[in-house]
Amino acid sequence: MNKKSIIIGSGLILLLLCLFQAPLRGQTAEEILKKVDAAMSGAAAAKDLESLMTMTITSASGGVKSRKLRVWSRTVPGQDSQRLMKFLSPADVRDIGFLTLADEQMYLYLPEFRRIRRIASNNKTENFVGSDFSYEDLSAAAFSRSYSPGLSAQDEKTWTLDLERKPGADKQYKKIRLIVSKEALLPLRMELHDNAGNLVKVADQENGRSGKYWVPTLIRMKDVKAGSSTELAMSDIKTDQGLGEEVFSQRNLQKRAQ
Amino acid sequence: MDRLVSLPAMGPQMKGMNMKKKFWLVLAAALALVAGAALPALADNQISGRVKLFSSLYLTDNLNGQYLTHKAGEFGLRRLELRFSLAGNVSDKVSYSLRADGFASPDSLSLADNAGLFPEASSLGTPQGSEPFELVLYEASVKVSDFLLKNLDLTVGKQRISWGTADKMNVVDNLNPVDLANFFSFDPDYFAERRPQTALNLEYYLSETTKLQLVWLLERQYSPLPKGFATLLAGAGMAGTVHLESQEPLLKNTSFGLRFSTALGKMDLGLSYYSGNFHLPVMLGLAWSPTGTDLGLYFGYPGQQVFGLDLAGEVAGVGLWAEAAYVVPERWQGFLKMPVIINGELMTINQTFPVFERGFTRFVLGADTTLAIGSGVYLNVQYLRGLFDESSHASLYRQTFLVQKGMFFGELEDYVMGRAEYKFLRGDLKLELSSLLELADGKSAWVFMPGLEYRVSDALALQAGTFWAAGNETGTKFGQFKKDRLAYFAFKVSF
Repeated sequence: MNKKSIIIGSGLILLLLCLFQAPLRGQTAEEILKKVDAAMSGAAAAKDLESLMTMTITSASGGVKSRKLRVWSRTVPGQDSQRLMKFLSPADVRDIGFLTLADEQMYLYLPEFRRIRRIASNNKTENFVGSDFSYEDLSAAAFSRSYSPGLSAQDEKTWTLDLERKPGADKQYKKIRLIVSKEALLPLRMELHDNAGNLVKVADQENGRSGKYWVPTLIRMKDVKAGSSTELAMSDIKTDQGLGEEVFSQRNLQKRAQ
Repeated sequence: MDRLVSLPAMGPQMKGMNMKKKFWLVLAAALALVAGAALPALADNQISGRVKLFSSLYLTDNLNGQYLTHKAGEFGLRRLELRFSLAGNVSDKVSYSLRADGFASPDSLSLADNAGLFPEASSLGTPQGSEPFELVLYEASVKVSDFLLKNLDLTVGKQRISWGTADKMNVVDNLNPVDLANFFSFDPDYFAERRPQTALNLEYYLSETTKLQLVWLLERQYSPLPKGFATLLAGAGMAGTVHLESQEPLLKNTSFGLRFSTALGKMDLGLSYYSGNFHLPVMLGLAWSPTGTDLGLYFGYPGQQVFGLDLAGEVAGVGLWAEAAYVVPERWQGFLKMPVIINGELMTINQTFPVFERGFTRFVLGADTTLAIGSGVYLNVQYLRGLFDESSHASLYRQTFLVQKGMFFGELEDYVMGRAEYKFLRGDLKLELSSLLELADGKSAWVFMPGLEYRVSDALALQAGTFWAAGNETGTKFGQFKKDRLAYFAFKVSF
């Protein structure tokens, strides 16, 4: 093997290595965020999902409250995901329902008044039924529509993205630091910053397998300032049952959950 | 005139009401028995309810009040409530729900004149005098989904059917009458509360947000009036015998409603129609006896048709809503019959005139938002023209009966209402300030209702607040309560 052949061979190997590594090294923050969106509520997510959710609210002083909900969600190609949540217990919140048809179309059903209330954007920052989640936190809108990402770090298992709210986007948080699992393509941690740039909430997420999909199994939202936290634990997860649009309707919002 | 009967002659009607009450109680018992028998088989029956103690205390003297008389420091309404609810799914498509409310000391205006001199009980121990108690089957209905057709739901029974997009002050919400008896309890839970009615309610869902609804109400709608309503009339200087136009229980006297609702982009839209009756009594006439010694006051519940429009949406993140109701009243004749002496001769003036000349519009406009202050300050503002008891009467009717703005059952008035809420401790402690500004022909009145609610746990909530009226005492509706300022507290346990 002459010198020329060695140089050409080495060059080819280098070229192959570069080509092989390109998808990883060259992945832009935008591409990563789109993959996260796809895994959360897009093409890579379950077409629909039903689960039992246990909401545990822990106050700053250590007081604990527990609520049970049933949750249904559905991905809609090219649109925001739809989601329906119905409270099963305790008695004072039983049958309260929350329906998200789109990021700008949310309804709350109050059985006490037999009334469905539309939630305007400015009211989405309110806490959802005394939890540390706001209505907006519980919506299933894609990040990439409202945020511009920057890749700030990565290691073997995670990417760290810094999301900046796009001008004109009607979103509660100005900045989000998102730590994403490379395996599940789902968030592991979200650090949420208010308009002044202060860290206000931190959400830690655990993901697990349900059939062929990665799904969140536990989300723990901590209010940094108040010191309270709310944990959402999902169980009895069922995917791809063929849930139709009739499930995500005002009719079903008023129905008594079983 | 021959259609008019005096109140004492309402015996059979009252008897009918008792029969109706008995029917509902039997139905409730039967439902409870069926549900109870089925409980082991059906896992999804749920019993819930609450116990509530409400107590109010006057902060001002009102020794000669038109509506209320009391001293400062005197208790107002003290009432213990028990709410018992049973709901369940009989199958995938059939569910039921019932609610029975029990009230101890149920006199909403504290007129406490029904008790005996002493707290006596009957020989069977029925504690009528010593422990007055009232039981109401508040709601009882069965819902069948996909009834006959896919996406068609039928709900039969006593039910609350809520229409409109405004906050409490819904001018299109006409299927359920306002509970005026409890309006004066000053308990915020009953402020403009509407009572369930017996109805057949068909809802056809054309899409996830589009619905066509047809409601047939099996009887006319009547607002419960405060105990002692006739006494209040007497207190207003109209001492006499009260007569009420009777309504025959005919098919043509039943009411119905129709509503189409949909979502158009960022806006929800509703169009509605109600054919029924005025929910509150309308004065029809005054008639003195030929000698001028006895006065008859004649009331009735004229028919009405209401064409409604309601909208809800948002602009720049602020929630907005609007409702308008065009009311077409039934053409009823009012009358005045009084003896006069003309040239020394006793004659009778017999004058008739329309009660309503034309249709009129009530409307409400409102907005809400949450300000980013602390955990968020929720603000809600509404402008209302025409409270539920107000109408636009014919001019001669107004002149004859001195009906004007600033009085109950009077002319349409304008109101500005506001509500601010701030929550602490993750929502466990809520501070609320509600206010109402009444504008009536150059006179005005304010009502302030600051309150707080503390949720000690999921099951236990404590509430306290005040009702504080200010402004012109005469010529306004709410200014008349200037001397009835009070504080209240409530203790609620849910189970």
